[in-house]
Amino acid sequence: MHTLTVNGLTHQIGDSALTKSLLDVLREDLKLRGTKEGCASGDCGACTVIVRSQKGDVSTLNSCITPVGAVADSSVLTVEGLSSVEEPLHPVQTALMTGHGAQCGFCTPGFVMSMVADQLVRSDADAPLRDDVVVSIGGNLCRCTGYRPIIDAGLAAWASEDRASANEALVERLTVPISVDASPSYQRPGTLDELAEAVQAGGHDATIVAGSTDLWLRVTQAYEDFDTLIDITGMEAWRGVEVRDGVVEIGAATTHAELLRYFEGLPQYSAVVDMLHRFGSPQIRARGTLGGNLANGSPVADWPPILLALSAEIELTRPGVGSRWLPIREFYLGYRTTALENGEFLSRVRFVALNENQSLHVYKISKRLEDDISSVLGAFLFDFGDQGVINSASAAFGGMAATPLLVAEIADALLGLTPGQADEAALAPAFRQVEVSLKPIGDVRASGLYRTAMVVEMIRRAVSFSTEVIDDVR
Amino acid sequence: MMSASLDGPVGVPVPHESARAHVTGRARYVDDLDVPADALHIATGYIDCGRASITEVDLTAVRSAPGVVDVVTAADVPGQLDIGAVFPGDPLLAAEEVSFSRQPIFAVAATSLRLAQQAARLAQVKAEDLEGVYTLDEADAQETEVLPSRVWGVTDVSVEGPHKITGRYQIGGQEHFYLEGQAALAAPMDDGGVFVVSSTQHPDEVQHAVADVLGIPLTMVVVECQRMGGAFGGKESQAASLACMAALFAYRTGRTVRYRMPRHDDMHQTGKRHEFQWRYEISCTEQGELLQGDIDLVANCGHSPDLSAGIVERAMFHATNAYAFESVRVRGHYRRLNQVSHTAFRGFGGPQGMLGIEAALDDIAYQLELDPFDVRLKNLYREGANQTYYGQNVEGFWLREMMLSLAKDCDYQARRAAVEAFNDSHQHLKKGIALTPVQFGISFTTKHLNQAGALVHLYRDGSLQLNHGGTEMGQGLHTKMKQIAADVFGIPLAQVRHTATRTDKVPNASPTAASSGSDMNGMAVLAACTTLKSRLEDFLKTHFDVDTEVVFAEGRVTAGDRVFDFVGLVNAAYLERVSLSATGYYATPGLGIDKERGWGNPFLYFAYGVSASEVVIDTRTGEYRMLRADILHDVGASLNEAIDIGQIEGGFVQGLGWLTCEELVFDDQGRLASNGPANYKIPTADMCPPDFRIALFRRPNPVSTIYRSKAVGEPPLMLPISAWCALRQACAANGHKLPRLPVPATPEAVYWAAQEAAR
Repeated sequence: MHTLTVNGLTHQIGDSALTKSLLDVLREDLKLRGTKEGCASGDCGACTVIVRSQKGDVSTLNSCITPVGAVADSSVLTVEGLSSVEEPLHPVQTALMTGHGAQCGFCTPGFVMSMVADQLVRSDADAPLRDDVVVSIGGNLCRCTGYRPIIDAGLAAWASEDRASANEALVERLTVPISVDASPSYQRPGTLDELAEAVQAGGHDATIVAGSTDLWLRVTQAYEDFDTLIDITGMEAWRGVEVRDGVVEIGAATTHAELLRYFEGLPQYSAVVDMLHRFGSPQIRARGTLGGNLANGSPVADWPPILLALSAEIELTRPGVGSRWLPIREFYLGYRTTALENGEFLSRVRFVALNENQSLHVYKISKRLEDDISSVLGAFLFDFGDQGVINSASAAFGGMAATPLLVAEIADALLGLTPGQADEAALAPAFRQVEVSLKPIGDVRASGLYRTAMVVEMIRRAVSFSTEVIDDVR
Repeated sequence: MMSASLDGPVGVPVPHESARAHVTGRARYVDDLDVPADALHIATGYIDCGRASITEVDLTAVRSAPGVVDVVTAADVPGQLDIGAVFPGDPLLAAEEVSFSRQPIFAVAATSLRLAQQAARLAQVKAEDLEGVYTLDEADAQETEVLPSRVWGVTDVSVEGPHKITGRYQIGGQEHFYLEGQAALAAPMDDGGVFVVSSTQHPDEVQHAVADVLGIPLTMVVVECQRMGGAFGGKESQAASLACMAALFAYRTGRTVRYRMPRHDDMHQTGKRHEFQWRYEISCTEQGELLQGDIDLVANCGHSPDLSAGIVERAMFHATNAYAFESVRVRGHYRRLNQVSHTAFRGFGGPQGMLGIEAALDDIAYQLELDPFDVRLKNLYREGANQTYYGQNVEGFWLREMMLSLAKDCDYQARRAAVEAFNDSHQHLKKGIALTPVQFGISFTTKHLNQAGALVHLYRDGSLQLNHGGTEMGQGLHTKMKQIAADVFGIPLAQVRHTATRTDKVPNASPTAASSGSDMNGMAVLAACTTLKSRLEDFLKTHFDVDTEVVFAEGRVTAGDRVFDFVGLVNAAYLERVSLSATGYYATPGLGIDKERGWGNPFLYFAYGVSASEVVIDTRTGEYRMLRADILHDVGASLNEAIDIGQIEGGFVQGLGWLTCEELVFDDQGRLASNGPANYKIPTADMCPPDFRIALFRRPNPVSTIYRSKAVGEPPLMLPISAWCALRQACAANGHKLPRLPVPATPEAVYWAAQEAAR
């Protein structure tokens, strides 16, 4: 038997439960039905729960797309764990109730969990502003209220004098010793040796999971069952960011939330930070990993163009055998096909750290500002020589072809230009290259023509330093 | 904003009656209900193609799949196969032909939802493609129809005048995206009846559909709805098929059966807001006064009529919004496409009708170089021009006053000048500001639906149980109804309990729709409570010789200088054998419309609203931001202002979604490409305007409605038309013409419109 710790209580669960969706086990096995299924794809947030890792990290996740095995070593908090019938409500609940923040109520538990989690990770001095509340609920959809009363409730709840004591009680409830037994069906190796063993044991049937934010759609949308999963997010060596000898090395199991925290302190990577703020939602960023985003092979993933522009290399590891480094430009072979061979793991990513003579630009176009897949994403890296002339350049795009695309011809057409001084005539050769090199299709997100026009505009922006920025107006 | 009290009668902004259950997760929805261990779960099978003739359905593998207990096709329906809400055309399961992609062909009941879904995928279905119609243009060219066109207004119009404008607007549909997907639960009863719990706005119709499908009398079917996790019109007719399917399997297996649609099935298989084309030829004077109009509303109804009759009619009623023409002809066309049948959605065609005239007035203003605000103002109904083109006199029309009031409060003129200055000083960023009115007719345009019932019990401890035919979908109907009952008896709200809507408590109830929930059920609740109160008053007269006026307040009953405890009085009445249970009934008076001619009084009254929106666009990408929205909305004498404000701001953002980011995309075989929340984007919190000012217009309704309040469910959805108009103006500022801008105005659409303006 295995255990699942929810609301401070430890539940016995069978081995097969580890490969089920956390939401299903909460609702069906534990009868905790306050957590709702709105979409089963991680887009609506009705299934949001809080997890606290053994290390003490608190985050939210979408329980609909999280296998139970992924949280077996964590403490899970659901809406039922916030306050028992006898206890007073959590200030977030009170504020939503008295502030008319719930109408149909179906999305409400998810909002409650996102807002409580935001309080739990915030220091006392760090009072949230309106925009902070908006960010904290960016992964939760409400169809009734128009959000205004929910945002107000988030601000009111922070101001409640009961906040500190309520949150202390929650942290206490979340802090319970958890022991995890090895499972044949859900393996979570921590070292290369353990990974090699897991691969050996799992054979060809094993599926690799590195955050499950996309993989799990096969379970919830296509109704596939996975008998054996190998979760690589426990691989300590593949987590985190290190800079060595001017090279940034990122473990593939590093989450987007961790990357956001890392890059937030580094001004030269502000374009990456801006992209990450619009990458999925808090729930998705807490679970999704860099490696997952890359190995997935999606032509509209947001990391590949950036790493292509940075001329990154990726490390492919065959556990027990060895590893190889491959330029990322050689990684994408076709639509959702990569150079990753059977039995190989994408383990690390590295690129030369940006210096003061370089600038990185990232532009994302999507139908909705928050939590939306890119229609087009463009990334540009420029090296400047004297007087700010572009000495070398790279340009890469997502959403423009069947794979993420590095387009040398466009980058080459920008050489010799001086950003801030380049006029339309100077940019014309680059624009012509866009027409020649990119033949995007139209789909549910955008037409091909619009995509092409956006790439043209991205080039213009990267090189012209426009002072007209829409978010400066707001 | 007002502070919330946890208790209070009519007019007090008490929280939603389920607020505590909502925030604690203890509120139960259909999928949360406990079922017996042997309960079954349903999935449907389909093919992913356009219109097709079914040649072979091999369900062998489905039947032998793990967990499968029963499988049904159309041939297994014992009663009536067609469950069309008003007209036939909606078979529970497709028999010979599928009319649209993913129309259910068979259904599986298995021991878990997952096993049912997995089994449904094992069917071998063969079909031959049939010719289909997949775009509105195609349908219009072929004049396909689910119902005959209507022609209202002057039948022979000639559009003449110093200025003529002509054109067409593309108005997209909208997915409801209620957070709780469609769901129903059916349990067999021991006398051959069936008990159904349904997430439905219309339990009565579910009862009818289940009885028809099973071939049993209505009395054998009981339908209950405690609450819905959102509905917005999407659970008016669309809920029935789930209940029917669950009841059919319950009947066949003798087990409890639940049918909860996963989101992807829900998006493919249930109807949406109708796509429309708004075509027009309109003339006006040099000063922009409307003369003649010839308006064609072309609706994409999908494959069957469903509720389209009323939806296109309401689009026609609202096609002139609040404006008087000298003469106008409005034609409505019901085009048949091989898509899922489109259905009710908050506004019920009204928003699509209204959008076109607002766009046309902008066209006129732009052409004549007038402020659109002035053009709107001068065309409003006025002395001597206060009859709608369909013959209803507009009384209590205070929209002009509201427009002037909001224009002043939001500083419209100065901000319009500031917008122009901003646009002059910016090359790429352009702002727009617009102020638009809403006039929304209140009543079902189908006369017989304008009736409601209530059932009220007083118990011996003075507690009161309340029931009526309306359903709770989050709009706060039950809260308002409790306030009315508490108000009548002068007792605390906590003494009133609202029970689930059930067809065996209030029979033959109309759908909770057309914004009519509080108006109609409130009157029925008031009637029931008044009956009971009269009995208590009579009892006071006969047993206590009371001959003065009796006042029920603060838990006491006062007659002159005599004071009775309410609980004591109720108990005394019981002991003297006074009936403490009463029904109430209400039928909206004075309605009547000849739909052939389009002439009469379809509405009891109108609800009004005005909004001003300011936006900024980036003409280089089409990206935009809402900067500020101001609203003044007419709620009459509100039953609960907090709930009304919730409807107003919620409706605004939902309408903003329809007008901006929510794009339905169908492929060339009618397959829905925007089939999940990953590619169909409803508004997130950052789309709530950062500066959002809402004021209520508090004048009591001159018409005798419940406490002189006004309906508020649908009208606010049309308020963000001002945001769409503002976006279009911002696009125009990129050049020198007002460009076409489709609905939804996605960033891509705004980009192309800004480009068009510059050409």
